[in-house]
Amino acid sequence: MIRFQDVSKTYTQGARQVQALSHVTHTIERGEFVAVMGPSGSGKSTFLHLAAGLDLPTSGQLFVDGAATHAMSDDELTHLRRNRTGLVFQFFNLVPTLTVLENTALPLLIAGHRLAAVRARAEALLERVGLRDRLQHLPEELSGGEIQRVAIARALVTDPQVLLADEPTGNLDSATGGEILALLAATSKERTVVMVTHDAKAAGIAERRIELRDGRLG
Amino acid sequence: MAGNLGNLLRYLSIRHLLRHRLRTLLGFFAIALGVALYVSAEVANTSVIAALEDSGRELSGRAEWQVMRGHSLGIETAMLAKVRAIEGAVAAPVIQTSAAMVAPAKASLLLLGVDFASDAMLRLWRPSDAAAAAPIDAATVFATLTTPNAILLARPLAERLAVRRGDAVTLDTRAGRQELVVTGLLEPEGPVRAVGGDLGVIGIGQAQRLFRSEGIVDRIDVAGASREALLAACPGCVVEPVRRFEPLVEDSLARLRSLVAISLIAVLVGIFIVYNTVAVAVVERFKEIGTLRAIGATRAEIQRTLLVEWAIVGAFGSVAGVAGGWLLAKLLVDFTAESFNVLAQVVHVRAIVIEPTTVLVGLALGLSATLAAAWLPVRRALQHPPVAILRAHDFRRRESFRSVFVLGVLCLVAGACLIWALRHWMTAGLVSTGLFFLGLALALPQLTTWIARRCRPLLARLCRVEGFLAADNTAKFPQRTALTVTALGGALAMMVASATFIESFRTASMRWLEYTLPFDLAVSSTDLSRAIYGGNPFPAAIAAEVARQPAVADCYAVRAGFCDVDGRNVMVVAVEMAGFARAQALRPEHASRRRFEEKGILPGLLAGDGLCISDNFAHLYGCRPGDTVSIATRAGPKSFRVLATVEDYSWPRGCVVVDLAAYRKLFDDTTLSYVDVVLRPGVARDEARAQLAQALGGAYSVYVFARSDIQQIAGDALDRLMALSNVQVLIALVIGLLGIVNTLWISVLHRTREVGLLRAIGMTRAQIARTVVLEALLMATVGGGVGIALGLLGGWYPLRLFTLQMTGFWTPMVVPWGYVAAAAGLSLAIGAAAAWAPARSASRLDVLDAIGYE
Repeated sequence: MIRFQDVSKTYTQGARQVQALSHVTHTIERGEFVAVMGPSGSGKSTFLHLAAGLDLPTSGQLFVDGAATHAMSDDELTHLRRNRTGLVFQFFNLVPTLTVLENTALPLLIAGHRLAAVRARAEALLERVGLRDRLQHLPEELSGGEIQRVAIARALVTDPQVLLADEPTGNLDSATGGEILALLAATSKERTVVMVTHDAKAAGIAERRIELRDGRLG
Repeated sequence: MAGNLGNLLRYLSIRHLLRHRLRTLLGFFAIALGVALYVSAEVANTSVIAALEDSGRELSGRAEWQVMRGHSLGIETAMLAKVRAIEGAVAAPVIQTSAAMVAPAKASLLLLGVDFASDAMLRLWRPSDAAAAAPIDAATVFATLTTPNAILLARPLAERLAVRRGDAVTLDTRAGRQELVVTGLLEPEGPVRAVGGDLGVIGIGQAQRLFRSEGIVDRIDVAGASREALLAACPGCVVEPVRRFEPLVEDSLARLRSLVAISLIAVLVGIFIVYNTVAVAVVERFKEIGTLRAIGATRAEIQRTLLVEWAIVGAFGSVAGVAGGWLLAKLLVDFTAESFNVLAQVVHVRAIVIEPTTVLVGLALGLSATLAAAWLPVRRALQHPPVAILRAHDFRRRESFRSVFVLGVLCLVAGACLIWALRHWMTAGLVSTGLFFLGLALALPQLTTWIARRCRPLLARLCRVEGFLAADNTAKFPQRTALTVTALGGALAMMVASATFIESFRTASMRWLEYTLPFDLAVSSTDLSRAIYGGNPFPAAIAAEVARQPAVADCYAVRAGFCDVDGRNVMVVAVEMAGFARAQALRPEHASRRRFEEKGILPGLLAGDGLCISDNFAHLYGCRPGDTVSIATRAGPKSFRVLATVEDYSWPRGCVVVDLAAYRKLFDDTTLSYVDVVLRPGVARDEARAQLAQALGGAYSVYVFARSDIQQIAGDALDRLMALSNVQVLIALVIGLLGIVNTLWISVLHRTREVGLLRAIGMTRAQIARTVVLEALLMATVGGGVGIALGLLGGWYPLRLFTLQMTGFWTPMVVPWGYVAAAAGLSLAIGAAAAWAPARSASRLDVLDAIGYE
């Protein structure tokens, strides 16, 4: 499903070059729930961003469902994210001026659908994450856990084949984090899930773990 | 595509605009004000031109051509027969002059001398028959003009003056004061509508006697004949279309057109504000943009959405600007008509005319300015991959302004170089100004960083922690600060440049009046405070009357008018040179500035075959001493040798100075415009003034002015010109104020967490507020410095060069220290005023909320 073939990624920070990933070769099969672990600066988020098409590798090849993403244009990557992947960020990244319902439906609105046409789907997802009664609230009126649940609902609204989550519980207390992890686990039955985390307990819900250290797979 | 654009607009753009109302309004007002300035200047132009054209159309009626010997030369009535001999031609002689009514009330009116029988075939006259028992036809009413001293008045004028048929009115004429009897009233139609109905009509014969010479009329109006046929029938005559504007009017129109150029600079200032606003809005929404990109919105979709979002603001701003411009135009038109009419009463604006093209151009200007301002920040934000945008704090720190600084310096140099092109290409001034603005905006971010760093130690010493925090904050977002400084500096530069130019001209012309003209009092035929030029001269006999007065030591006569020199219509000043020389000799303190005393000049003038030209005439037409020029007269062109150039600010298109006797021989005109008087030693000026007024006021309307009065009148005319541009500068300053408020508010928002931390570790609310105020004052100081420097530079060279090209006047630069101080004070006041609300907002932030802010 997601295949890394000798992928490296280098960033420039000021005057120096930072090798975030170094010659990574790995395959994540369809339907797997994989946790990507490693200490701070190990390249976990870079691994996820490349898989999501948010960034391009400096060298190597990357395939998502057979499509060579390393050779895609920006628009092609964007459509890939729109149609095939769902993203959950550590810092939630909801649009502050949109309601819970609108934030959830946003990927479909971007695709040109009318809210009325996708409302039912968005509401169903919000029901699934336990926020049916918060449809018209703004993000500033929600708790951290509720916000992250909206983010998960948004990530699922296009029924993506891949769900990518970057430290989804990083900003939450342990109880709330547990709820979020349970949600992710529930969705993993229907799709491939890749979750970046530094929390061993969070990684415990995944079927498989991979370790990154200094940009290399352990 | 339309579906997702609509969704993005509806759910993101509109909500963001409504949520951040203040920022949206700032951008809206910036565009609206800029467009309003442009529209108002254009509408004032078109309204005045329309009024002049209407007036010309109404006065000319069916006439297509006017035949005369030359401008101001008139034509012999004997030529009428030759014109009428052309098949199909309808011709009517006309005398047209401004006349001053003395009784029953003081008023100015346009006076037409006509031959009704021929005139009625060209113009529509409708007598007023409101009080008549039966309808009156025009022929009957005009027949009354054959009685001596008869006059017809426009009914609105008569009603205003409470004058009826049979009442007497007194007018100033070349023959002195004349009492005329109102024998009929005319309805405000046709020519009577011109100049707002302030019109009187007398018979052509009477007009010749009172205002011209026997056998001479101003022109012959013709319809039904071709120009070629007229030229063939009247060799040596000038045949022109009837609606040509007089030189007085052309000059005033040129000044009015310059307002449009100034307004475009204000639009430029508005563009900077919008750029700033959009750039800040984009930066604030980096995370939102990054999220949208991450979840599937393409660059093009986001770019389209943001551009449409600002296009909406620009569209609303432009519409408001057009409406505001229409309202402002009324003020400008009133101002402009007043300044026109100070020169010579020629225009009465009845309606504010707004052309569809002005509306369309105003809308297009506002919209394109907004899109131009929004395009770059949006594009820059979208250049980076989504993950970089999501890490927005890293993204900002990577910006460097050094290469942009170099580009900015290149633009400034290009702008400076382009000023040289002003000699050949007038629009270069506007292009050069645009390059200066652009160069400043590009160079200032890096300059701001340097300035803020340099100021940091001083501010730290003077204002401690608030001081260096203010300097750091100014340097933190140099691009935003730079645009604000550019906007404020630009507005102040406009103010200082205009003031420099006008003060330079004022000083030179006042000095000329003070030291070059040797009279104590001037006896004038015209009330100069109402109309500097135009009006009727008085008879030559008045000079002898003046000379007889006991207070008068000496006097000399002057006739000022217009004539064609080498085909160019310029002012002619005919001076009784012998008297002028005597008056100069009575002024030993001005010995160094005596005119005409160089060898050969005075004798040449007195001989009647030489003349002097003004400095601006020499520059405009490339004429030098020793050259020969040709003056058009009724008897044909007459050549004169150019004896010398003289400093003279009488007329922006140049003037020639001749001896009065030579003038009389040229134009067969014995009338006078002024008698300049030198008082006997010890005679009080005011006492002499009263004496002259009493002695002369019986038979003539005379106006006695001291040199200081004339300086005051000239100064007032310049002040009116300054007032016009000051209105525009004021609006540009408001835009600058909005810019600082915008920048500060965003600065406060960006530093919410920082403010919370500072408060948490012990900084008081007052200290927080002071930091914001100091930041504003630092921006305002840099803006003020930039504005004053650019303004002085602009007034020093490009504006003077522009004036030289237009008028030939080159005046030494005078720094308007008062305006410089005002600009400095204004910039600080604007900074302080702009800081009030953001400082208050920052000081009132709750510490815990602020620390938790993201």
